[in-house]
Amino acid sequence: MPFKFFFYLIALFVLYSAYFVVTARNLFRSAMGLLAVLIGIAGMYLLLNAQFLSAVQVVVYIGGIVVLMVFAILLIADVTQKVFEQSPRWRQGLIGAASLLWFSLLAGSMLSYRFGAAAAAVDKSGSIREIGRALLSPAAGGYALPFEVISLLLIAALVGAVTVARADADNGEGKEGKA
Amino acid sequence: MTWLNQLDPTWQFLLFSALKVGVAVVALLTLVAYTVILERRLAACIQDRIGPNRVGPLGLLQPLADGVKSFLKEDFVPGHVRKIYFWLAPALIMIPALLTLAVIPFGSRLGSQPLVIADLNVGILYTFGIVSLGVYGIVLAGYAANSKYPFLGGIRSTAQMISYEIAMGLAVIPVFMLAGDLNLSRIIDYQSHGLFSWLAFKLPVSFVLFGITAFAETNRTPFDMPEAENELAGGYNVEYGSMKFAMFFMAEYANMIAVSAMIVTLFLGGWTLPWFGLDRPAANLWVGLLQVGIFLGKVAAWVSFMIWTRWMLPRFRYDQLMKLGWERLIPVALANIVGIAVWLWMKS
Amino acid sequence: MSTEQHPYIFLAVFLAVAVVFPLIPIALAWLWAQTFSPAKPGPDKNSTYECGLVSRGEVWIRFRPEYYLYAILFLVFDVETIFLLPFAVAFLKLPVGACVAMMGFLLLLLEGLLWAWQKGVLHWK
Repeated sequence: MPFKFFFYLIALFVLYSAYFVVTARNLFRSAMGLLAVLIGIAGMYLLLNAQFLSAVQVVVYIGGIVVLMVFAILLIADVTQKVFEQSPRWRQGLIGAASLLWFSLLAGSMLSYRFGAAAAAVDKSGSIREIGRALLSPAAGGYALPFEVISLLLIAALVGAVTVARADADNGEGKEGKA
Repeated sequence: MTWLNQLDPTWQFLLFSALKVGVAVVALLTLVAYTVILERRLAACIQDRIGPNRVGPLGLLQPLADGVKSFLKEDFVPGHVRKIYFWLAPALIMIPALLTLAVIPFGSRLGSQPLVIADLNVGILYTFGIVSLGVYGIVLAGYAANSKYPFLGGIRSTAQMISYEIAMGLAVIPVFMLAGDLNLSRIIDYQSHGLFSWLAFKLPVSFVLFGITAFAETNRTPFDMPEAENELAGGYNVEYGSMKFAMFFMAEYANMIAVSAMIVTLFLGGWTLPWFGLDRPAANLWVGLLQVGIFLGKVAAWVSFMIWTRWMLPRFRYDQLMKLGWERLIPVALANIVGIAVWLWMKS
Repeated sequence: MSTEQHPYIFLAVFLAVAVVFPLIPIALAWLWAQTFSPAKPGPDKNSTYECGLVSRGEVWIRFRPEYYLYAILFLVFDVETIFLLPFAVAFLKLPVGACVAMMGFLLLLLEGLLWAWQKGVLHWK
């Protein structure tokens, strides 16, 4: 059963890395842990024959979002030197309970949902041409409208992020040396 | 060869796979070694020197001597570094170059075996992923060294690499509009109808853009910001010595070879030549080997071009670099996509 | 095992090779150094390399925030590039409406780039 073997192997890897992300005392190490989690998830997509999704996962999350995080960590002086204190016991317990509740809600809703109808789409998801056609088809069953909305969303994200970041940049300048 | 054909298909697959991995790794190492010597000799020619010519005939054993030397140097770890990352970074920086080569068809076929390590149908998307991983080797090296120059070099080159990654991604989009596939073998098929079916001629703008970004992604002059000697004293690898430094050094050349192989595959027809029927999959073993030779020759030509550029051009300033990337290459790449789309539309 | 999955299984093997392969020379060099040339650390050797000058102040100087702005822009356009790929591959057989939709997408993002350009975000000071 190579499929099951790889599935559990990757699952174990992802879970351990995720645990590492939340328990690491150093932000940079946390980011590296997140990198491992995302690589594992990309591997999982590949295992499920969603090759396009897997590649997108690598390009956007690993090559984009984690790089952004690493950048933020490196640019803020001293943040990796800081060792964060462990939260008190009661708060840890509370967080544990909350995550358990969330997990059971998620698992419950997933298990009660019937995935039968989606099965037909699965074989097509490997083919990028099909994705392109479905994404851009203005006819019924296409996703042209959501696609356009994505570009609006991206623009809004761009404008918002740049505005916020620039405001911070202007405040910070002058006080300390530039490099 | 009959015993090969009698083998179980699974075993045959495994055997050829192991062989291909082995050959690819050894070939890459040899190529890296001789790219280094090529660079040194070419630089010497350009600067009217002789260059290394003492070790072996014509200095051809020089890479071996360099290897032994870096191996015997004191394996020295400065006191202030972050140990784990310090050890990991030199290894990590080699990985992307090796992984890129996995999807590149380096010949048509030998016998019935296609000469590509992994023929993926998401081909180019996979290489995009690998390219975006390339950032981490440099960031980790900068962070691990825990020292000002490497740190600044690491940050600078990350910003540079991500900026040019966009231009690179946008530059190749028209290739897929024409070829209609992401699989690199298909793209070579598309280019196998005469010299002018090569995408370098069909999509000159894309070719030039991709060529420029290739320099930037491999941190070669005129984009060698991370190691700007006169400002950063060597950049992200300043604190490294012995074999670990050698890994950074080799990785630079391995990346050059990988990106050259990409360019050859995407724009220069891969293993094909438009004459003597060399643009069809090989009918026998000799033609198969010849096509591997053609591929290597094209890669060597592009690598030589990159080396030649390094010794002819000065370096960009950082603001010029960013300006070129964001305010020139990306708008041109976007306009190129729209232009090609309209052109294809008019044609059909 | 279907032949469809073969390249990916093989890729996993290759990934393992690619990870192990660069570690071998480093490990060998380390082993060699352990037995034949043990490290001889010294205060000067262990200090930060700054061309012979004594390092002053913190390593973690504050960097220019512009680097971060580039990273944000990168993320947006990275996502855009990914969306362009399926479009490009399907392009030859797309209806007119789809192409118009794509052009709308492209133009909106181009507008974003122009906005950032005009705001001076792209300009390195």
